[in-house]
Amino acid sequence: MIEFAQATKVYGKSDRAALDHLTLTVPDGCVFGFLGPNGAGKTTAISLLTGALMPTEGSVRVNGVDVTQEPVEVKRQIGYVPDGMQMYDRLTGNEYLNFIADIFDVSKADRQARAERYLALFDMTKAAGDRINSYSRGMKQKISVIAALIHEPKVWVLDEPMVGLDPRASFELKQLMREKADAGATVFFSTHVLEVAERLCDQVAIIRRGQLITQGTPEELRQRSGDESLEELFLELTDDSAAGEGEVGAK
Amino acid sequence: MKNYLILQRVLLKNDLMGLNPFAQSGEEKASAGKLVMRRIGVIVLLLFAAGSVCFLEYELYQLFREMGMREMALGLAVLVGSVGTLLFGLFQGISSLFEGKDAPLLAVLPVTSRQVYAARVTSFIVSQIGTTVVLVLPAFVLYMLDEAAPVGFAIRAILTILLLPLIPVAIISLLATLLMRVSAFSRHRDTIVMILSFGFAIAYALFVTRLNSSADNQVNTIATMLTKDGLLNKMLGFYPPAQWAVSGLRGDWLQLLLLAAVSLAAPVLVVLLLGGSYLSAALGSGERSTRRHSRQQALSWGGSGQLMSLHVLEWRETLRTPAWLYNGLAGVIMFPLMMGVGFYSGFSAASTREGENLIKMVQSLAQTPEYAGYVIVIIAAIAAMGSMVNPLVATAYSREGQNYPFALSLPVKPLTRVWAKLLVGLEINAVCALMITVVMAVIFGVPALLAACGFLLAQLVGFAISAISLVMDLRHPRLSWANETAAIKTNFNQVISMVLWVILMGLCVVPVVLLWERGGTAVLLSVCGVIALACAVSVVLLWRVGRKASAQN
Repeated sequence: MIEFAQATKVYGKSDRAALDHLTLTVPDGCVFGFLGPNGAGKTTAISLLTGALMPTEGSVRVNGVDVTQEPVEVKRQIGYVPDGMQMYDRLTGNEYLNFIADIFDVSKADRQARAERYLALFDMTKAAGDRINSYSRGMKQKISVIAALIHEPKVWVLDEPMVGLDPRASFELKQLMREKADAGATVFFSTHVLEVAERLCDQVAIIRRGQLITQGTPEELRQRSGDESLEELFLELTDDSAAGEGEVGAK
Repeated sequence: MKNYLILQRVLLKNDLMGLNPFAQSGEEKASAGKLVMRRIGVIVLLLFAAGSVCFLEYELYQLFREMGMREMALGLAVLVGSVGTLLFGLFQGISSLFEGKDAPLLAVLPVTSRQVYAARVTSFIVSQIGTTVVLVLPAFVLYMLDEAAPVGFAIRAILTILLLPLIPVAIISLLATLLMRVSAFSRHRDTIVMILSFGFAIAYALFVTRLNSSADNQVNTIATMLTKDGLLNKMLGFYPPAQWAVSGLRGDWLQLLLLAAVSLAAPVLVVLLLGGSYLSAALGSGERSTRRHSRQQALSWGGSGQLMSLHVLEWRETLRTPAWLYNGLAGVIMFPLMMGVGFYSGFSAASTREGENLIKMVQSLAQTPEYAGYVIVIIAAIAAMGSMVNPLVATAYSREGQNYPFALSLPVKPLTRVWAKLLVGLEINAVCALMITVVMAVIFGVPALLAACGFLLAQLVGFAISAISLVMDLRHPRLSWANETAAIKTNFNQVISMVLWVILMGLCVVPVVLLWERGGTAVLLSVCGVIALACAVSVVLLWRVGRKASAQN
């Protein structure tokens, strides 16, 4: 379970919070879509969740553990797929997976079994011996996804995970997200692909300018907005010209 | 021409922005008071660094002046300014020309390959002019103050500063471009570039030695060599442009004209020769060859603890990044190599009776028990140079670059990460110190026990400097850089680390000077005391990093 309680992040002397008193609970066994326009605060929220940043105010808890108090313990529970190709790309795919497995203290047998399964699933077995800097964008994304799963995390955090993936890999990833959630894990991901969010997510939240503007199941959101698609609702809620007018309950 | 100028302006602006010493991460978090203090600190450190160069050159100048050999100071400055670029600039050249992330962008713009190459070479020249200014200006100014016609000298000095880097840059650009072509499509490109670059540096050093020793045959005695022009000619003889520059500075306009003609022709020729195919080579350097069939042994699944795993990661990152490897190992290889070359030259010179006697005298002093303390301190001081020239520790966090946020998301205690990085630096320092100690022990016949003590003391200096530098980089990493060389060269933390080294050495010199007459043991103990204090400071800083782990990462 993920809990943001009044989580706020202000960068330096900025007069505006990048994340403004975000209160949000993501239950176990849920695929949670985190939506918002560019610069809305999605990556900031994910950075607070993964312990890369500390909140200026409020708290973030993962399975009851406070990120500020026990950052290492929280990180141990999270598998994180970052946006923007953040990885040690001078390593080979195998070296990278081994490195992540070492950091998360995964046994040899487990890491081998999981790596072989996921490498095969994403058609990366042959490429795993090559350096990551020789990979295409999609292949890097696949290795990043596999690395995040190598320790079977209780919480899986993905920042724009579909970017660069081919249709097959994208399909496999969505299946995996569903599978993990059904097995009791929490899957938290940000995306701009609203169709994916609508079909895949158990719950969706939309933020704008660091503030949560709505949350609920895709079905609930559609009902509240008079049967609009998620895309139409998103456009309406995040339209700056209509700021403050389009907020839809459930806050 | 228009496109070249536009491109040039953008590249120069980008390079200059990258040099801003105030642009360290964490500026946005600091309060106004802290920000002002930090900026004052940066300015003080910059002044200190500049002051150290000025002081060194002032002392050298005064020494040569007293010997009636002012021109030697000019000669030394010119040599350091030009040959230094030639010797140490190859990897910077490769990075500047081939490792920029903008090659794919430039390749689709309506500019010719030659224009891009010319703009790159010009940027490289400008960066080297900056380095030349820092290295030669103090000596030039001191010389000018003693000149009867200072205005004429000032004009010649400005021209010389602008011209000096051109030939080294042209040679480096030529070598770098050829090197990138040779290794273009090999899977082991980085290794090839690495080995050939070090090979070039070593070959160049040996070439210089050979010229020196052949010069020794002509200059039969040290007494003859120590005439004003004899020594100057010997020093500059192996690099004619340096000789032209010094003659030009001394008023020979024809020599200056010769320097200008060759200096301007060299880069133009290189651009004309190699510019046409530059972009394809630059794009090729971004390509990575892959195996058709992945090797089965690559699929072996090992396991180790967090510290070891992070430590191995640090080594892999370093070994697989030529710019970091070269900069990190430059001290390890080049410094002992230079000492070895000096030793070799010394023996060549020792064909004369004076040289032989000099070496014997130093050897007998090193083996006298009363001087044991002095010997240990001297060995430690020279062996600890490695911790000054090794930039990897002071930039360890900055070099994470865009991976830094991801690294923070890993469940690792900050102290574990610090130690993984620190160990790499300590290991490199140890190898460097060991090689220097061995070279010195062989040259001066130092007893093994004294050499070992000197080595250990150097390790403590290395630990103190490395730990403090690393904690500084942890607190203020500079994560945004254009290429791997820039990650090191434009990082102000590296300057701070070098200044720390100078300060620590300065603090050690004080008791040495005060207690010199009281004997070697007193000197050794006092130096050990200063180093112990520095180690204590570094341990406290590490302990504070460890304490933070429980509250905030």
